[in-house]
Amino acid sequence: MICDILVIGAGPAGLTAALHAASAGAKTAILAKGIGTTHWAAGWVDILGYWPPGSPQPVRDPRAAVGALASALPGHPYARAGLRALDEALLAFQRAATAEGIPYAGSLDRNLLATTPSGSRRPTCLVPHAMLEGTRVAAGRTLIVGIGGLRDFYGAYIAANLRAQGCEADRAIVEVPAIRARNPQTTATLAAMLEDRPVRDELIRAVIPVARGFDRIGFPAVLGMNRHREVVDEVGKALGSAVFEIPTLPPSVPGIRLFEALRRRLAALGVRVIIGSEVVQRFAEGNRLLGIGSEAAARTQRQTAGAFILATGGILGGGIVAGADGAVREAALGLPVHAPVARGAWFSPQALAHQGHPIFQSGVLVNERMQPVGPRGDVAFRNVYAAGAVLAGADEWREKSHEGVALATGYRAAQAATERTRPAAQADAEASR
Amino acid sequence: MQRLETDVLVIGGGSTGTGVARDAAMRGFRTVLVEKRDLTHGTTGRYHGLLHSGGRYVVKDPESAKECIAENRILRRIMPHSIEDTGGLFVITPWDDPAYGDQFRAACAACGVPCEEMPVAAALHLEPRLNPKIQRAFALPDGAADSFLATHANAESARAYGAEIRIYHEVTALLLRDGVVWGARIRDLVRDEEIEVEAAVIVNAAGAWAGRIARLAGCEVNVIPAKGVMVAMNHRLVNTVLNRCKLPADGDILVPIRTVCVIGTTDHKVPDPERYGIEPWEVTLLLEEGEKLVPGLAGARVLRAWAGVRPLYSEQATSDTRDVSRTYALLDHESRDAMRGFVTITGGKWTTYRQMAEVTLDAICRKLGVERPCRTHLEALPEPQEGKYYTLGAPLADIESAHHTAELLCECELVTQDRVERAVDAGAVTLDDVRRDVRLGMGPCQGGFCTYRAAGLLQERRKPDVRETNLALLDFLQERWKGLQAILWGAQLHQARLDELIYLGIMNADHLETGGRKSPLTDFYFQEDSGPPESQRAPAGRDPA
Repeated sequence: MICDILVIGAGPAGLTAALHAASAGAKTAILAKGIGTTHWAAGWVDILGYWPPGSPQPVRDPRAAVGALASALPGHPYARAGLRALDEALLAFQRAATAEGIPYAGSLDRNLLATTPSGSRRPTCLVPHAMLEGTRVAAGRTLIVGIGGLRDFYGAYIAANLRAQGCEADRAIVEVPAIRARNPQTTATLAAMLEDRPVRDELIRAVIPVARGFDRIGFPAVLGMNRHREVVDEVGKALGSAVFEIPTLPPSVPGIRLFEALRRRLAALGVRVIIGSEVVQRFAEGNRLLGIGSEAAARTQRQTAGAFILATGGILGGGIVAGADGAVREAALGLPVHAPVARGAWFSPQALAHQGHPIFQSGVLVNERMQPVGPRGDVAFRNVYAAGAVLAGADEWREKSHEGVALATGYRAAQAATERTRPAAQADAEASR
Repeated sequence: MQRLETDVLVIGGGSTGTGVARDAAMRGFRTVLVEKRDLTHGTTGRYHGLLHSGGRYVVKDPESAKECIAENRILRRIMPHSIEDTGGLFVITPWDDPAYGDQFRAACAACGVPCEEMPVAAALHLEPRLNPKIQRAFALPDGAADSFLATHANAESARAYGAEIRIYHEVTALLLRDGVVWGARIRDLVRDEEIEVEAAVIVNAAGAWAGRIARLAGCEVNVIPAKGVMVAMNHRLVNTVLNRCKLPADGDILVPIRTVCVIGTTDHKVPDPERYGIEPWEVTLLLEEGEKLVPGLAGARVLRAWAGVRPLYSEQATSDTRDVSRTYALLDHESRDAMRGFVTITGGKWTTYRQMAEVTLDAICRKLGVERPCRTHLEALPEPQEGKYYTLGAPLADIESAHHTAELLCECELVTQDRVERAVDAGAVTLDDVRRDVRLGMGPCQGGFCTYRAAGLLQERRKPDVRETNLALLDFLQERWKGLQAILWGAQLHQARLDELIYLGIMNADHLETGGRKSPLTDFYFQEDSGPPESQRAPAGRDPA
């Protein structure tokens, strides 16, 4: 395979990078070991939820807070990518998601408070439309509906925590024989089942008697997979009140919908997405990466490109691997990694410590063009860029910044990669043939 | 203040304490057992799960070996459901002294421990992952035991005979008058109430904490808290208990237990049974030693590291804890310290808990001038499937036949919703209590998925102030974290970050409302993490190869 830009990784950063590279006219492909964090995370777009670390109050204005963070922490991925990249990436994301049928609500000027599966209200920047009503639970009466047999969602816990935060909330568990009989083991299976009209109707009939008098009804995020909009509309119409979804334990149905939407978008732009192929080799000439070898079914395949965007994720995604010997490495290309020196310094004694565990902030350092650099600022490969959780310096689950970092750095990396003029990229690609 | 009167008051809810309570109740004594946390919270819930054949002690501590084989036979009869009949192999690796083999076989014969030499090829056929370079192999009747299940069965049996078992009841004072210990003042930690218990005899079965209890009566009991570190691997790499055939040392036992296997142990004196850490070098040492038994073990995924504190008893302080006998001691404080109505049963090991109880009750009968023979070895413990050993596939078969799959709350350990509900309804105070009852969160994801489910269920069933449920969830995450830090790298580190995605990313657990509540019932073991490492000592001079 030969292309202008090869993106390694299919998480939110890789998808974003490929989207912008392809939109800019570059012949783009994605090669990934597996699917990224979309299938686990809640399906929101976080920009910055809490800042500074340990702050009990959520960030109200993410744009201002990201600005403050970027000046306080010049090594943070947001500081590298810049606020403008974040702004543009976010708008482009909203356009793409809307075009693919899962519009996202919200803006960079104000965080929303989404309802979580623990019932805590959590700052995030954009939510899918089907979660918007869940950001309004402070007013009116809310009913949380649990579904019998679904073990990844606890309405009583959610409602109790909402009440503890001053919201008026109650819950009900509905028994739906058609669901019990088919015994769905995951939320993804249940979401697909609810696209069957008889199952859906049975759920609606079970909810109607308990739904009276509530301003909004919250469901686990299982209201349809591919025909999600149709399912939400129908359930809302039948119940005569606003309906919203609350994320569940993984797998994340809203995350899968998002992934599928972006993949459709990429397909429309002619981007080839290869999943299930791991980078095992690199071919370089001086400080130019010519190609990579990836593991295929029977043999190693060589992929060449003019430029490469590394979006393989951090410890969670497998882009950064930490060994028993204390060595921390970048898995795909063997780039220099910024990490705590000794294993003894990897962790804090408290699991949920606000300062986090230093090992989870290890990753690749980049310059303003998102090119990985060594400790002295020297560029590793002049045609390699990095984006997302593989970058050092962010703790996205404490900051609540995961998708924002992916979008901003993915966008910026694609921009930098395509700034190499197209003929030059082509020449590079040809030279490596 | 509540007042109770009883014949026998047992202090400690581990294997020994529950064993004593059962024996006392079966002999017709009114019995009360108090445990300051949950049953099995101490050493019983922190050991590797080996049912000793005695082989480990035949050369160095023949007394212990004889006790082990005698009890091994009894336990197989009275509690097969808590035992997996794995059998054991003692193997001589290139790192061990080949001359020990003949000495070992002779000592087994002298102690009455069945021991059969097996051709190396047969041993390798039985355990294909065993180091092919072993020189000799001996088969012995070791087994794997579930100490949680066994302790609960003992408690249940004791209750059936009328005993009262009170958890989260801490002894704050022993009540003394004219050389008699006539009772104890006890704090109910859940209700925050004081209780005074008057008893004809008080049995100190507090394990590693026995020295502290004895001190409340002014008696000095030298219990050496000896820390043993264990590491659980993600797979059941072997199906037979593997022992190095040599004098006991660190990291020379590998026990297959449930779906995992545990390599253990180390042995180091610690100043305080509640304050100790697990150090990276200890884990490294165990993995390196394990590698000698099963090449490749060190490269497998490590699930967790933890430590138990053995209650080794010695009348004289000693520095090397391996030299302290594993046999037990019954201390009659009347003859020893002129303090009547008070005995301490200490030392020993899980395999001999029943005999320790028997000896204790025999002494109590003599003291009280009654003749009531022991029957604990004759009557089987209550169990769901009578007379059958536990087998690896049994829980799965159970779930399959009961069509319970939809309600699996903990997939790793095959824990169903109704079992968690029963534990919650039975009064589990923390999610860690639920874990000890049903093994929740003990598998590969270490609570990643089931912590939320169990908290949700707790809220469903009990409808407490939700801030208590939030605290229960946070405490359990912390409790699991405690055993992870020493072994987090590679795949398990990746898993830990997924747990962060779930609890910080999806749940916002770091901002859950706890109303400033603290964790009075769970902070007990948390303090051990905050202290500096007890030593920086490297493991030196252990490896003859």
